[in-house]
Amino acid sequence: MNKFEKYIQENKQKLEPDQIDAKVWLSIENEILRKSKKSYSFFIKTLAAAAVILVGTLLMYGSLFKPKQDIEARLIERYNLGEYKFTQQVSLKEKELSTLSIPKDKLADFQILLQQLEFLNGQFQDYTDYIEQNGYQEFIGNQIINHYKSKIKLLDKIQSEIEKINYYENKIPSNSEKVEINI
Amino acid sequence: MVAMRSLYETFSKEMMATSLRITNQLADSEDVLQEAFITSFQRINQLKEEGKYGGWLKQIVINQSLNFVKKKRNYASLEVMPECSEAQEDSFDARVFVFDKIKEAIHKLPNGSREIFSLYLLEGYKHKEIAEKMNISVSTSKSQYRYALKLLREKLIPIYE
Repeated sequence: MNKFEKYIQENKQKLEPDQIDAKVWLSIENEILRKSKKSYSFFIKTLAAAAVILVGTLLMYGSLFKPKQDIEARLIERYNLGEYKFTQQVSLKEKELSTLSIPKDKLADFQILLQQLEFLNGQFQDYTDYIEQNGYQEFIGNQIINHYKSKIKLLDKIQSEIEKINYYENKIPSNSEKVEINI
Repeated sequence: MVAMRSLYETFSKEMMATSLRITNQLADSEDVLQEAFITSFQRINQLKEEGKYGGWLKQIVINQSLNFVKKKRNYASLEVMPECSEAQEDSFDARVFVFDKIKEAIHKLPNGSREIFSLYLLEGYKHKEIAEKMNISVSTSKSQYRYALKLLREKLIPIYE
């Protein structure tokens, strides 16, 4: 292989078009929706498989160049993963919770839930460390999806507890100082 | 649907480039791209390893693109080959070219040579695999590849000089 061939091969990404007509995706989307009306269960299974494959794809591509400390942020930025429902749900929920406050004397009630949250965050780091060292594997993709589901459930629970406390606080106000829960 | 859209966003440009080098017609490649993604989504449950979606999709795109053009093109005519020497290591430095010029030169290659050039150099196919896919001989695939390289040099050198 001479220099010319090598140069083209190494830069083949530059041969890609800058953009693709939006009508292509719209046609794909219409066709999928049309087929989904014929078989809803098949559609749901396909959606689930696509979600798993997306996570696998992003993690595999991402693992080639990401520093482990900000894997999630890089994946979200590079592949528009922000639209992906789990990460989006988690991020919205965290944002929402960060604006809420509770009486300081009730803070201790949240220790267990916050510890669980810390555990989940550590677990995510373990998954990314594993991928960093061993490459992406199917079971890790499934674990990450389960991780997101667990985190959403936990954040929902924390939110519900805060709302419950604040409901009673509004009925019978205490003199305790209000503090934010650091999520 | 977001996951499907994200997969499309991740792979569509690469797949479009691959298909365009085979069909050489934007409208045809848009049709191929549409069909290939729909096929991949319909069969997505058959994919055993999530990380291999891109490679799997690429196979679908190449097969559908070749099937598309085989209706219009007769690759048998490629057997009649202009004489062409082995590609040599030389001082030809492609780095002086903007990639748009290279892209344009590739798209101006004759039908057949362009597909072989793309499949061999850019998609990593062996000449034997190309020969099977295009129903031509291995020697035709090799000589058409060299012919494509020669034409690219001829098209690009005047710009260089």
